[in-house]
Amino acid sequence: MAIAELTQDVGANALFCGGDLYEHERFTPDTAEFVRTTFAELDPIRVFLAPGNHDWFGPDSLYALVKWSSNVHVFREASLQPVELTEGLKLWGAAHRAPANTDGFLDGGFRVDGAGVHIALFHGAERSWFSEQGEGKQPHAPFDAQQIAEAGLHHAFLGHYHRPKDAERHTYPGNPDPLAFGEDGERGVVLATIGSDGSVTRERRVVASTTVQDLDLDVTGCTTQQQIRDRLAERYGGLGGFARLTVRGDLASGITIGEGDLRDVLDEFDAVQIDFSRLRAGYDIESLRREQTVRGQFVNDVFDAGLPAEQERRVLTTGLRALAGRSDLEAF
Amino acid sequence: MRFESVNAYAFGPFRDQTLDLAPGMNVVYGPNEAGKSTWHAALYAGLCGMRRGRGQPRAEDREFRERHGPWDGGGWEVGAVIALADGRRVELRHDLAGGVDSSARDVDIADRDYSNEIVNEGAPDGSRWLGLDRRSFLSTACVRQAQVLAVRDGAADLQDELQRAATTAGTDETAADALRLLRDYRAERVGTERAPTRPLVRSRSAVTDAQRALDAAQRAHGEYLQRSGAIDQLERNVEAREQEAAAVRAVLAARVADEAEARRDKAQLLSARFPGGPPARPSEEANLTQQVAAALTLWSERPTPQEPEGEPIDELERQLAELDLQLAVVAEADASRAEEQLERARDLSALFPEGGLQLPSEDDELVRRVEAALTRWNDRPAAHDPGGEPVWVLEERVEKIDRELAQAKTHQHGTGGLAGLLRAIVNALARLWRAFTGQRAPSTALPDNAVEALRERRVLLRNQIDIRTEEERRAQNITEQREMAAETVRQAAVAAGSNVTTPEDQVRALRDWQVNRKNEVEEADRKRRDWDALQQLLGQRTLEEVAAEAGRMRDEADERAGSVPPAALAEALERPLASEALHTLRHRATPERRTRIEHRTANRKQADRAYAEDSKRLNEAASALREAARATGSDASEPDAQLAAIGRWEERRQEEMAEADSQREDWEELQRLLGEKQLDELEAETERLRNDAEVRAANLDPSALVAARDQKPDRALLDDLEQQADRARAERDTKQGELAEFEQTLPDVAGVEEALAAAERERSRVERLNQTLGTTIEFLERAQERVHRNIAPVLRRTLLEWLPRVTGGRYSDCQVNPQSLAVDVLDRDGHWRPAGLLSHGTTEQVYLLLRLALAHHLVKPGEACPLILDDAVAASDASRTREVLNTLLAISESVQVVLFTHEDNVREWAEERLSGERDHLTLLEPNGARG
Repeated sequence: MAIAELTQDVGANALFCGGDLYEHERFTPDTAEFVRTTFAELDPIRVFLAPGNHDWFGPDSLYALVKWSSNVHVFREASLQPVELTEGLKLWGAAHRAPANTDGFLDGGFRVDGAGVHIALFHGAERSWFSEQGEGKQPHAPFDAQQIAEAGLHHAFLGHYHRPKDAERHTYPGNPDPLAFGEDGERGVVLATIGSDGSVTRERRVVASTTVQDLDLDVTGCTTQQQIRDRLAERYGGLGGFARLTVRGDLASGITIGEGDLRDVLDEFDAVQIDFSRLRAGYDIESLRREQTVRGQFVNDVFDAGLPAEQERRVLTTGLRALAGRSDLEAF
Repeated sequence: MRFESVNAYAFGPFRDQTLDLAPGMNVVYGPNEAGKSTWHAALYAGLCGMRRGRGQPRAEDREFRERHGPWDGGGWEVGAVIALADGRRVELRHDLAGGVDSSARDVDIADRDYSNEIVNEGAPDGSRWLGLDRRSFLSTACVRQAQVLAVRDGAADLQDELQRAATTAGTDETAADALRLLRDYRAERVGTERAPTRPLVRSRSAVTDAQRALDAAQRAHGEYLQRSGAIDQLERNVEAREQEAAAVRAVLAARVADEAEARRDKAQLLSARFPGGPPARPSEEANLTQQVAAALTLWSERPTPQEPEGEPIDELERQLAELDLQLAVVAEADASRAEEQLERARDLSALFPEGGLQLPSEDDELVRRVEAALTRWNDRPAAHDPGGEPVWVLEERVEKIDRELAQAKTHQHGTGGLAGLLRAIVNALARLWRAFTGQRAPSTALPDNAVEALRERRVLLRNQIDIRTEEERRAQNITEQREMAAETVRQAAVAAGSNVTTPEDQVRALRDWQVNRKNEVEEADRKRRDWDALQQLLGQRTLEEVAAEAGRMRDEADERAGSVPPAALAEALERPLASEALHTLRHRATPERRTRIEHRTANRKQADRAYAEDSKRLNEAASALREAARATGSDASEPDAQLAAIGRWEERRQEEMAEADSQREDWEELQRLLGEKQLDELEAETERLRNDAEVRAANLDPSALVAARDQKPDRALLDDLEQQADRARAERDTKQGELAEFEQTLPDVAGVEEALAAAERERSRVERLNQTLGTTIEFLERAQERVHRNIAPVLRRTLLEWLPRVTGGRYSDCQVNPQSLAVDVLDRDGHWRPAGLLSHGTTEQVYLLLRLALAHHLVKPGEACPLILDDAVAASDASRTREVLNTLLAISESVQVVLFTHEDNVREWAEERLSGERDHLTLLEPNGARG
């Protein structure tokens, strides 16, 4: 909705979407109705949709099923097809027609024909940028940046990578709304102005309606659970959206802390993910290791066992809590 | 390590007070409220200080402050001077209030502060030199009265105490408690693979269920996509059908527009011909036209009269009258004859009142039988008498002769041959005798001649017998024939109905029967002839039918007679008419002939009438034609001229009417074209239709329009296409309805995926917890085993060193179970006894020794941990107290012992026993001052 409103507000001539508009395996009748009405309300602004690998074009795809308004154009072919936007400006678009194994649209010696300015819209992975995307990304419809110029295209507007990128001849707007914690870069809508010589000027607008925040809480020095809660409220009270809270530091041995103890402090957030993996048990480990007791022996054995760090921490915390007679034996 | 002094700079009620301690046994005696607990706390705090951290202090810290904070406010400070095993003497000073100004300075070396070596939880902790901390020092070095009292209660408490010390230096749980806690926690929070209600299995089941739900949701979503795709195809089909129909509709609309324009053009043209309105009608000459038309019709339909030919009607009527008379005569003759036959038949019929011929029975068999019987009777042989003697008499005579001969033979055998001969003669005579007399010869012996005579006689008799037998047979045969004749007669008589009994009567009856029979046959022949005559009269009819026939013939005759003049008929009937003449007349005068004459008569009459009628019509047609010609202005007299004149008049008239009709048709055509509209309205309607057609065509794909035109569509085709579109829409609507219904149950795939992810997270958490708990238990069990195994020898060694001495040799050996740390001691009798089951005093001694051993074991090697006892010997009797004190005194040889007590006997013991420099008795005054 925000993108549509922005499109109207700025008086854009057209709206491009480079795929992954929805997920084929999950869309519902509501999804179809939403995109249809949203784009129909943009009329007469033209909307160009290039299906991606998550929303690949097929007979039962949303693209094929929806009765699009006349201002919407869906690229349906697996090869780049031209549409004249204005005199002298031609848009080439293509569609993924399967969820995987889509060849690069610029492969095979593709080259535009005719004079004027040629731009492209498709869902593809630029190879040099691939390593920056982290885990989970597959090289769908891959291409090299120089293929754009070699094909005679002045610019390519692309979908696939979540991280934004403004390259010389191509643009990845990135995901307009946060999809995961830790996302960086200015993501959102790209307002592109295409010059008569094919040059593209870009302006990024953030349209995200969701805020995602990384919160950090060091419990070192806190001697009671309430002190921890107070410290958390002091730092992050009043914020909202989606949050990932990392709890770190040395937790005093007498303190019990769990997710529930912290969530009610952050009740203004829509959702909070809490990570206790950076938390260390507040024990004087060295002192314990010198003890000629079962506890000392236990601590030494755990450290000497070469367990993975997470498991070592949990076993140590659990064992020491049990030896202290505590009931909160589960270590996060 | 040992305490040299404790300095209460500002601690509880004390301010700048010092408690000096000897290196060996120290007894600090004081009554209640003398400050023992304060000095005990100061001793602990002077060594260990207090933890210092941000935020609120712990509850135990707050309690300690409440109990031992300075009574007069201000700073809270305590210290101690300790001597370490390495020779260092350190003065510890703890700023318990602020925690800032704490120090651990070397007493002997200026400006050397060891605080950093022993910082624990933000503050110096002197117990760290022992390898302990504040908590473990408290549980290792300090022996409370309650602990001593507890070990008296049994071996379990002693063992538990040992385990606790071995596990956490006495600060927390035993390893067994911790393991129990872990296992209980694991059982409750994880469970086993076989516990379906526990989290481990539940979380796995939840994942399985969530995965199934996801599979189902994905299948449902796949079906949703499939159905959506199918509906899209249906939608396209609808569009195609609608497109076809729209194209045809557009073509038809164009055609309608073309037709409308044609109508408009024609209406415009026609309207121009009638600027003044409807055309004028031609002059009214309807009557003349009618007259002419009627005259021409009459003339054209005029007949041509044909004069009849053949016999005139008079002749035919004469023939018919003559024939009627003949028919009447014949009918009368026939009726009379029929009536005669009827009368004769009635007479004959009267002879057979029974209604039929009754003939005597024709029993020919009986007739033959009677005749045969009488013949047999008549032919029977006459009766025959055989005569002479009957055979049987003769046979008796022969038998008699045979007897006589047999007798004579007997005599012959007795007298010689002669005698025999005589007998034969006798016999023969006898036989003769018998043959002639029929009597037996006297049974006497006969002479031979007599025998011979007998024999001859016998031969004769035999001959007679044969003859007589033949005669008798013949007589018998005759008799039988006569009897059979009589029997035949009897049976015939019975059959003929006679009941007489004698043959003669029966013969007579049969003969009478034959006579009667003959008469009956003759009578029957007569009746048969009458009957045959009757039947000949009747033929196959009954008498009633014959009567009816006669009646009918009479009626016909009467009817015929009624149709002719009676006089003529009477005259004709008076003349006798021979049968031959009648026969001839009958052949001539037949109804058929009359019918034919009637037919000819009728035909002739009809022909005469037709001729008259045609003549009349011809005259009328000529008259009408003449009048019509005259009306059209002709005075011609001949029909042909009249017709020509009328023809010329008609041609003129037709020309006038054709022109009028043409104008009228044009006007009517114009009115039909306009309908209820005016010309301008028709023009507007035409323009609207043209626009409509153009709009329809403009909205269509040109190729579809061309295809539609090529089909040369009509309304039927459009109807068919619209029906196809209706069906397509109905199918699409049905499927859309089904899909809408399906959508109501369509699960949220993302939601189900989130549920699966949550279930997997929970399963991972539980499995991780299970792994953590399992590993923890494993490590803890292993640590427990190892520590117990290590500590057991330490305990035993300590006990062996001290036990015999402190028990006066009552127990010489001990053993410690490395698994449970259970302690057994060996008495003088060689019996192993659990340490917890010994006397209270001995148990306390063993406990103190074990505490000593544990303290020795738990602290850093090389160091010795002081023992601090708070009223540890209270509630003990005097002897036990002394035993314990003696033990402590012995222990103090290796570690510093500080005993706080309010017991007088302890003070007395101390005054008695503590005399050297290593030991010291400190007496506290009730106000806390030292004595």
